[in-house]
Amino acid sequence: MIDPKTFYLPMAHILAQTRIVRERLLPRPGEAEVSADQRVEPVDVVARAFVPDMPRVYNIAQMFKVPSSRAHTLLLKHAGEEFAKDEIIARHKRTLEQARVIRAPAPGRLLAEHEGEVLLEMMPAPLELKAGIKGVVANASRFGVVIQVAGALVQGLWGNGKTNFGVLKVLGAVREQPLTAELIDVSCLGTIVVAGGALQPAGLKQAEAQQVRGIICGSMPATLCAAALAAPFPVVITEGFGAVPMAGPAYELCRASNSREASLDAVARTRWGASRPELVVPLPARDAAVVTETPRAYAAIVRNVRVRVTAGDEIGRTGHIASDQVRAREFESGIRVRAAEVEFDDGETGWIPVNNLEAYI
Amino acid sequence: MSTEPVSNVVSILAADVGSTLTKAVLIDLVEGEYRILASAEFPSTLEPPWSDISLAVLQCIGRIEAIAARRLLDEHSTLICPQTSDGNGVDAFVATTSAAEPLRVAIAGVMRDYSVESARKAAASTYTLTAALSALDGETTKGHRWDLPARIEALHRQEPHVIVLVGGDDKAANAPLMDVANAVVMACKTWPAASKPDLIFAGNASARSVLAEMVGDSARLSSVDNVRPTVQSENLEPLETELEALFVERRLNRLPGIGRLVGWSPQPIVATSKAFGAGMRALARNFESSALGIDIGGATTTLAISDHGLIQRVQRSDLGVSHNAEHVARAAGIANVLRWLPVEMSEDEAWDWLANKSARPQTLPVTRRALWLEQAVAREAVRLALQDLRLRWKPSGKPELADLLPPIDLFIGSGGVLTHVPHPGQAVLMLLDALQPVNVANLAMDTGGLLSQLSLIASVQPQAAAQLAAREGISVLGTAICPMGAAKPGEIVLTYNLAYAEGGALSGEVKAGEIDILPLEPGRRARLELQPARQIDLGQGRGRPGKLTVEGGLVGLIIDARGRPLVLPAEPAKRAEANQQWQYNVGA
Repeated sequence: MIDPKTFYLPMAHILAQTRIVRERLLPRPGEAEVSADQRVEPVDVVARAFVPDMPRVYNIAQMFKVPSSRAHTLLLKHAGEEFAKDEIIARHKRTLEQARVIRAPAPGRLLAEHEGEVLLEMMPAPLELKAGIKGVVANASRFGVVIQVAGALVQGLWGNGKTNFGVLKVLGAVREQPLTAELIDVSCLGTIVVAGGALQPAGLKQAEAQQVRGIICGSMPATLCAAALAAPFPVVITEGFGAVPMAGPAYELCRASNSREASLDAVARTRWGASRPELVVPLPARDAAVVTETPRAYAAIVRNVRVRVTAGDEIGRTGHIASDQVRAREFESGIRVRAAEVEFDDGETGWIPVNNLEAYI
Repeated sequence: MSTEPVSNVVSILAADVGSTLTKAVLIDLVEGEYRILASAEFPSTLEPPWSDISLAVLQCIGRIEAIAARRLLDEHSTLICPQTSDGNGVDAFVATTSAAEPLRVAIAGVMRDYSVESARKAAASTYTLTAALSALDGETTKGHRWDLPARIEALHRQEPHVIVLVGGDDKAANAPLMDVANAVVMACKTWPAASKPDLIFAGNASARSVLAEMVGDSARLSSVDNVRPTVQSENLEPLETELEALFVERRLNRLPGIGRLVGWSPQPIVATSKAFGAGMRALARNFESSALGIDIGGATTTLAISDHGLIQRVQRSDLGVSHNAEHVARAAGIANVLRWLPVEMSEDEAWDWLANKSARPQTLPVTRRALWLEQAVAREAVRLALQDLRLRWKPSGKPELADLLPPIDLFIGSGGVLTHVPHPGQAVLMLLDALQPVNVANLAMDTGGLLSQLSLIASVQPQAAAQLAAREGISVLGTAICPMGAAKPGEIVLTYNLAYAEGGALSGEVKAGEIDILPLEPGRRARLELQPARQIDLGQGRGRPGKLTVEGGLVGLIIDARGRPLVLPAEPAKRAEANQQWQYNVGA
């Protein structure tokens, strides 16, 4: 329970060693394929369910070029009847012409017909839910599984909705290094590439060409969102849009994890969604045994709490809270708001609005 | 003179849980009059990691306790209610919220410009996002049949929470309506039970029984009166009421943490936009003619016009200055946002800022560039919402002006982007730019954030609402004189003489393209005489002089001689220079 008299900050996790507990949920109830305490790899199927496909509507009259009143007579299946994949559902034979047929695209049922059109309800298709991360199953049910893993965790700001795993490959020698096309060569094939700077449009194209398994960057131009959403692999940015370098601790953690296997979950955050995009680097089993702590989701504004700035000219800078006091301060724009004093990692100090701070550990 | 409360409610805690900010105010009797004792704001806690809207309310209460030196929460963090004999706690708690996810509504109907448009207007009265519009006539204009497969697929893809089916006036044949109904029913039949949308029928009443038979158990069907009983008439209220009820049931009442707030009050938690409309109605009782309320939130923009006692409300759940900042720019066009800036800014820089703001909606603009951009987004959000308002509001007894609002007596701005400006001149400029009032208009700000609370406060203690509205809730910005008519830049538009009630006078002239502020502090009155140029109209006819008594405000007397409709310089540098000059003129 939070204390009504204390200021809190939301927290992003940048942790070298922590206990990560993640749910993998089916879109509808199904069956778990694993049991508690079982070890899983990212590619393992942990649960299965049958998910209904989109219904299909075929305009029989238009496909056979006949009046809609006649289409009914060409149907071999009628309302309520089931069909198998490739089974003929309508047939039209003209004199001196080979019969033309319409086959079912998948198993299903003819639900209704109306003026030459038929509505096909498709049989639910099997859906396989993969673990996505390497770990141990903590709980399994018909709704999905909970997987627990000890490892390094870097949470981001924005993701393109995709997930993948692979070996982490840090590109460039400095944190500000933009992800350009030149940095991505054939050695990046099958890896999750990391760059501290901004993702460049040509870099994204080259990453696709070299079949990388994922990208994690400090930032990217907002105008690149559409292309990033269309990318076949996960894309995660950690700081924001524009040209903002990755926070130092996140970048150093990625460097320390270079060449290790990692999972990148670029979950797309929504206003009502609970998850953040994240990079998980599992620890070797011998180190994992000592990690028992699960990180908190928020932190009180007290001296020495690690913070990063999330807006304004200082965006991306990291440091720690220098004083327990939260005071009203005026800023360049003229707004007067509650602010906290931050000592940045380079030794400078400054007042930052509480709203523009995020704690991290 | 002391005021005895009419009920036993003396102290009230009122809270508004917004999508970005949560606010709370403590109201109590001070020397016989209801006053705001303390107020507090805290970033809303709907989203992770908090996922509990009541936490921000608790944070606000914690701050109010410190300011008012009075305990409001017990050891279990429960509101002490009613007030105890030692002065702790409050007698009543009321709350509004705009934090809930809007209902996604798909509308299917027969004629796009009639029944479908009426349904769209009704949907705009509450927190909805219109996900899909399908109209039979829209699909058959080129001689093709209605594209049934495409319609069904579209309905599925949009994943609506509600499908509104409309069509046919009450004397029309039902065949076209049944074509549309068939597509909707087919779509409903193939929906998984868990995500099946509700179906509301608001079309030709004679089709109800046939439709009910078609739908069977494939959807939860409710029928309300036809939104378009005749081609010429609309009846939006029954559909509006049904959608509002669904929003409350499916969204508002399911907000995480709302249970704690509900437990504190016998009053239901009300949607902010509905309460805002009711607040405007309560406030407008003091005005004989017209008042327009503008509430710009992080995710939602609401306009409520009170025109001779009648209230019309428009709700745009896709327009706001934080969560939906990016969407505003996409809907309005980024160039339309950038045109309001007093500096030049590249589209790329603007898109980056907008994306950051949408990704982290609770961040604040600490630089001037960021503040100007946020205020530019606010102008465009209002402009877009205004287009919807103009569709549903027919001004009573006033001439319609192309692309402009008719003369309105009072404009009241609400929402953090307007009420938390560093200088009130910025709020004036936002209102003038976005609304472009004509003739004479009074501008005010809902500084106390009470407008959406007034009706709820009135329900527990009417005197408190009346006294707060009159004294504390609203800050007058000033009277704006907005002449119409063509004039070249630099030409004299009008001359004025301002005679202060307590003595002294000021006279001068205002040139085309300028905004002038004449000093007139809050509480002061003056007699204003205006002599417009021959081609300029102040609402009395071209060239005809005007005399009126004006009251002071935080900014003063404002003369906006930029012309209507407002045309900005086409060249970016000149446009930025003009915006800069106007900012300077209003003191911002």
